[in-house]
Formats: sequence, C-alpha cells, structure tokens
Amino acid sequence: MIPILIRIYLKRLTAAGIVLSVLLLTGCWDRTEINHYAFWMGTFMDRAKDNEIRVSAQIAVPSQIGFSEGSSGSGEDQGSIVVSATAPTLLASCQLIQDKLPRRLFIGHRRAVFIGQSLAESGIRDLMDMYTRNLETSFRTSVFIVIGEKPERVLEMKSPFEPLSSSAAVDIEKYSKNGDKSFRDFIVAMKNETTCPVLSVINTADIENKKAGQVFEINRLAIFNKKTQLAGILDPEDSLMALRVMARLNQHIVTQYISKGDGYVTLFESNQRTRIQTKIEGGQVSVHIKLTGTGTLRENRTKFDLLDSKALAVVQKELNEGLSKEVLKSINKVQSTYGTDIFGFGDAIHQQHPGEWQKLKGNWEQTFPHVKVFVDVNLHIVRIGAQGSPT
Amino acid sequence: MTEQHTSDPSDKPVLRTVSPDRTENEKYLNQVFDNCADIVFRSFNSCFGEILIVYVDGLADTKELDKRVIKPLTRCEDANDSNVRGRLDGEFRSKDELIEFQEIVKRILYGETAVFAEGLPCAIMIQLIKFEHRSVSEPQLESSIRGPREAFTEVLQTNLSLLRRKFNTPELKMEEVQIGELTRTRVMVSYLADEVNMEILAKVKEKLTSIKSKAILDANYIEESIEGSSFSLFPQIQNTERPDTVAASVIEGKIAIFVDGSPNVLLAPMTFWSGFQAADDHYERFLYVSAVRIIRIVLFILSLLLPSFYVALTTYHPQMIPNTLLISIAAAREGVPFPTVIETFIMEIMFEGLREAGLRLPRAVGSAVSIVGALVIGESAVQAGFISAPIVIIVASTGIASFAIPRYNLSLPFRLLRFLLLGLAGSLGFYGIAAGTTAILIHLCILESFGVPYLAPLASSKKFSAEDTLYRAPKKG
Repeated sequence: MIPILIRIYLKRLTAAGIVLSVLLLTGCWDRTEINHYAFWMGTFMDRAKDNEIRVSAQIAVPSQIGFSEGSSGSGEDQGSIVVSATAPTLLASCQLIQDKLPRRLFIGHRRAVFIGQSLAESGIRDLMDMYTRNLETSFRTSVFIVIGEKPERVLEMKSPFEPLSSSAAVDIEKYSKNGDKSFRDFIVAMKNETTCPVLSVINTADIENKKAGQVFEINRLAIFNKKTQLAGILDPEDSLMALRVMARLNQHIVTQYISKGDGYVTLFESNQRTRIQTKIEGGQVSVHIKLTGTGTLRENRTKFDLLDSKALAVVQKELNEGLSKEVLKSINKVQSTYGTDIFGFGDAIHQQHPGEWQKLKGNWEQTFPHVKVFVDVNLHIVRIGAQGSPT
Repeated sequence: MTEQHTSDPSDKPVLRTVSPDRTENEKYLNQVFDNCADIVFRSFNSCFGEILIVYVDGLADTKELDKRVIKPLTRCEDANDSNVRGRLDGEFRSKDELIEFQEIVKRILYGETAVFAEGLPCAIMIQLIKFEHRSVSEPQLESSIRGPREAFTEVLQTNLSLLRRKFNTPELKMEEVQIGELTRTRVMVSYLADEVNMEILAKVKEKLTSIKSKAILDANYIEESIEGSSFSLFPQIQNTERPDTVAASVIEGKIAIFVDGSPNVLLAPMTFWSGFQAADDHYERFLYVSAVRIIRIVLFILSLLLPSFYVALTTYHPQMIPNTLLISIAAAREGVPFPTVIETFIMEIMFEGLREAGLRLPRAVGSAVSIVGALVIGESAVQAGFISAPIVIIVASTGIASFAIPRYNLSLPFRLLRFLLLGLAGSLGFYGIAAGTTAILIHLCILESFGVPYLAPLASSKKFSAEDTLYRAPKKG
C-alpha cells in the first residue's frame, strides 16, 4: 500500500522536500531564542569629550529578577547591569556595547531614555534621528532629562517596587501629574512649526535612600526651544500650570487659599478643557485662554459651611480668580525667561488667522515673548462631599 | 449482491433444491458445512418419520427448540394433525417454507433453524434466534448531563428499534444492503423520506452498493469506503453512539447508516460545525449552550494554535510580548538546552504518548501512567532544567483545550495539524502560522461531504445561517 502511495505522490513529495530544504538548509532563520537576547531596558546618554556621545545601557538580567521561582527575595540581586561605551554616533556606541555582551542586544522593549543635562543643552535633534529611523525602537519609550550630580546614577537606582529603575521612572511619570509624555509626543512637538517640546525631569538630588530602595520624584518640566536645545527647567508649580494650559495634565488637584473663609480648600478637577482665542490688532497679538472644568471638593479648611450655596459661590469665585493669576504668572514667566512657545499659541494663530500667520511665522520666536495673555478660569464645583462645614 | 455467493456450483453437487429424500438433503448440507463444527445436525424419530433439524450452535435457543419443536413432534398420542407442517403451525404462526438451498443455508447462518422432514420437499425455517450480546448501556464517548442515557449496541435490530421508538411515522425509512463477501454484513440506510435530499440519498446508496470488500467488521469500514476525499485530514462522515443524536440528524435531513456489529452509527453528510455540537446542546437552555459553544470554539482555536503562537512569539517576535512576561519567560528559559520549537515538539509528543497510553492501558494501570507523566514531565523535567516551565503550561493548556471539542473524530485532524503549524511557526514565525492557517482554511472551503460544502451553512453559496453553529437559537419563536 505504502509504495503505491509514494509512487502516486512522488511529485508532490519531491516538491514538499524541496520546499522543506529551502526552509531548513539555507540558514535564512532570524530565529533567536528568548534567552539569547540581552534586553536593553533603559538608556542614559550624555556628552563626552570631543563631541562624542557616551551611552550607558541598562541590561536586564532575567535570572536575577524576582519573577522566576527561587531567585526572589535575595537583596543582593541587582536585576540589571549597566554597560557603557563612548562613540561619535549612537549606533556606533551600541555596537561597542554589543561587543561587551554574550547575548544579542534587543532594544524593542526599552522603557526609558535618560538624557543628561549637558547633552540636552547642546541639542538632541540629531539624536532623535536614530530613534525615528530605526525600526527596532519602540515609540512608547519615555524620555527624561536628568539633572543634578552624577546623572548616570539613574540607571543604577533600585526602586523598591520595580527591579529596573527604567520601569520605575516610567511608572512614576505615569502616575504623576505630568502624565505619560512619551517619546511620540516629543517627536510630534519637535516636528511642529512653532510649538516647542517638553519632557519630564528627574533630579538626582531628589533621590532619597530608603531602607527598601531608592525613591525619586518627577514633577518638573524641561522645556526646549525650536532647535531642540534645553531652554530651561520649570518649577513644579509652573510645570503644573503649563501642563494645565497644554491640556495634558494627568490629574489636577487644586489647592487655594480662600481669604474670605480664612483657610484652604482642595478640589479634584475633572473634565478639563482649554480654549485658546487669539486676536491680532494692529500688529499686537493677544491670546485669551479660557480654562473650564468641574471640581469635586475634597478638603475644606475654611470656616464656611459649603452646604450654603452662597458660601460655595464665594469659594468658587475666589478659587477661579486665584487660579487665573497663577496661570498667567506661569505663562508670563515662560514668555520672559525662556521665550519658547510650549503652549501652542502659534498653532492657534495659524488656525484662527491663517492670513496674518504668514507674516508672523517668520519671526514668531521674537513675537512670542510680547504676546498679551489673558486668562479666564471657570471651575465649577459640582460636588462638595457629604457634609457642609469642616468637622 | 445477495444472491450470487453461497457455493460454487462447479465442484458442489448439482442439487440446489430440497428433495423429499431426507438423507439426500443431509448429505448435501454436510457437504456445504464441511468442517463447520458449530453447525448442529440433529436427527430424531417423530410421529411423522425421521426429522432433521439444522442450526448454528449458540445462535438458536435450544430450550425453546426442545419445547416447541422436538416435543410437539415426538408426542404422538394426541396426533390429530396430519403432518409436520400442521403440527408446527400450532407452535409458530410465522414460519417460512423454502426450497432453494442457497437461501436456506443463508438463513441457517443468520441463526434460524431449518427443519427437514422425510417426504417433505421443502425446509421449514423457524426463527428461534438467541445469542449473547451486550445490552443497551450508557454512552461512553458522548456522555451528557441531561437527556437520554442510552447508547447503541452491537446488534442491528436493537439499534434500529432504539431509533424507531422515537419516530411514530412510516416516513422513517430503513433500506437494507448487505455488504462484504465473507461477512455479508447487514447495513441499514435510514432517513426521513420528506426531509432527505434525494440526490444525496442516491449518492450514498450508489457508493454503498459499489463497495467491493471482503469483510465489514465495523462502521469505519463503510466510512472509509464511501467518503469523498480519503486523504483529507478532516472526517466527512460523522459517527455517534447516541440514538437521540441520530434522531436529531435524521430530522435535519441527514442519512443514518447502521452497520450490524458496530455500536457507532454513521451520519452523512457531515459539516465542520457539527463537530462543535454536543449531544446535550439541545437539552440545556439556549443561553448557556450558546455561551458554552463560544468557549468551545475559542478553545478549539487555542488547541490548534497555542503552541505555535508561543513558539513564534518567543523566537521571532519578542517585541509583542509584554515587558514583564518577556522577562519571566526569559528567566524561565535560562539554561534550557533546547530551542523552543524542539522543546515544544518533545513535550507535545510526550503528551500525545501519555494520551495514547492512557487510552490503551487497563484502568488500574492507567492511573499509574498519569502519575508518572505528571511527575516526570510536570515536575522533574522543569526542575532538572531540561524543559522550561512555560512550555509545560502551554502544552497542558493545549491538551485541556483539545478535549473541549465534543466530537472525537473532529479533534483528530487538529491534533495532527498542531504539529504542522508548530513546524511552520518554528521555521517562519507568524508568517508560517498565517500561511498554514490559510492553507487549512482553503482546504476546508474546498472540501465537500456528499455534495454539501464542509463549512455550510456559514460559508457556502446557500443562505447564511449561524443558528445552530456559532450559537444555538432559542426553540421558541
């Protein structure tokens, strides 16, 4: 029976054999076993001598990360190693890093890129080319600017929650008010005609050593100019207001002193909206920013009983006025100190006055600091909680 | 088919009809049943002269024979009947008188008893058939929680009666064919006259009558002989051991083929989706059944694709695995000597081995196999570092998923295809899986069972209907 079958199907068997040998014998496999990869989880880049770039790679050591059975718990395990190299281009230094590793570098799962202050000040546009050009890199990577002493320390930090400091930084940013300012947003802003990109900042001076590990905070914004050079770093308060105007705030907790009630109130803002109205009168550009939102009052330390709608109206009015002043102050500070349009005023003019924009866009960088800004905050308190007066 | 093969006339005596001479008949039958020790020839003196009865040992009810044939014939005192025929009339209402030896021999072999009397030019055939057989019991393969709990047996008559009891109508037809030169197995084609597609019925009958086979020992002998594409991995004829499933299929217009000696009844034509219909799908409320069906389809896809997906993901597309999972897989694979594909192959083959061993071994030894399997494969291989733990999870989940297909014969092709896809995934990654599944789909779309598209009614030129395929529609409006 079998020989007959073979005779009938000889042609097909031959064809199948040829296909199989093409598949198996040519060696055209790009198969790599998962344990032959070195997972590059985070990068630190900074300027070295002679205009070269120093790249440090945080490489995960899977067997030392507590996911697998047996290896968890021992405090000495690092979970990662840091390998560094210096070269004129990024990929050249990547090659040097590869030379030091017994496994194939795999960059597809990198969570974070940390950029040193001196490198950022000299401009990072040309670095971004490698990331947008290279197919292996992920757009969901987060990018941070690191300031303070010994910035390369960020890769060696050990968070009590995450085995890798890159993941910890990404998660801190995710739950901070800064929100997830991923690499993609940065690229989009960078390619925009007038809007300037922002990035989150990690300060190594903020790193606190706890018994279980190290903790740091992310609450500042680094702002760039149109040449993608670091223009400056905003205070936490200004960062908050800037993010609010850019409508990119993750969550907003407003705390305001109410002078008439002699105390502070704190509320959670939701349904945040930003409307930017522009006007051009006789060469003078003015911008009207209207911020609206609804708030839930969570803490009341004033003497008011908020079940009384009149008292609530007083609180709301004073809150809005106070907030307007703060936003305006922050915007003016960005205008006068750094002169970079991170808010997208240029875009708004472009959309609302396309004709005049043709004349303006050539020297927008000079015009931006002199734009007149008006801020109108209209927060509506919709919930005050279960009781009126503070207990 | 039925008439041509009793004895070759060339080397056998010319005598083909019963002669009035009893000894001549006996001589002839002795020649026919040469060396058949289980044929019993009993001669005795009766009031009507010498009588010869012939039957097969073990197929005739000898107690009844004594009571109702021999006793009445030998008790001469109240002999008011004139002859043997009259005397047997009093005992048996229905009996045949035959003169053709060919037919007589056949009937004897079926278990009837032939009575030859001196001077009578025919044989009186008495039906006193009784033989040992399994009684109707609970279904083993297609057990259900609700619904009838009877299963077919090896006896054709019993099986037919199980079906007939569900239909009080002459519309249920049963046509008999005898197949097999040696076994002359009775095969019964059953259908509902006003539901069945006559073209399909003609096709089935034509294929059945053209079977040239020496022996039919089980329904599968018929199945393989009449299916359209023998080299397709997919079964084109469904089989069941449940009378209620047969009844439901017959109502749908399918044709049931009963084979004497087989507890499995064939149902044609079969479609892909009937593989997902369990027996008690119609005995439980429809919402629950529909949900379970979706789970079955998901599990079926898992059983086909899970190992190859894992292999393709980990060896070709690590970008697609979430970060933490990737690192834990990498940690588990640390120090494992084999590539993932080989590892998966080894584990899948071991699992198939366990399955096969568990199937064949006696029940008492079977549990030992599963313990050894669980310990050796599940524990030691991982601890010794031969096999990584995720593979064990993958193979075990695949195994569980493959058991969720209700029809055993439809789970078989996927057991084989899993290995094919695994090879493709190991050599070409997701591209290989896509190519493989596309090839399977194309094959399924081309495949037909007795002219009915295999994927009907979801993918056919006829009206689209998912009412009893992807889900089960409610019975009421």
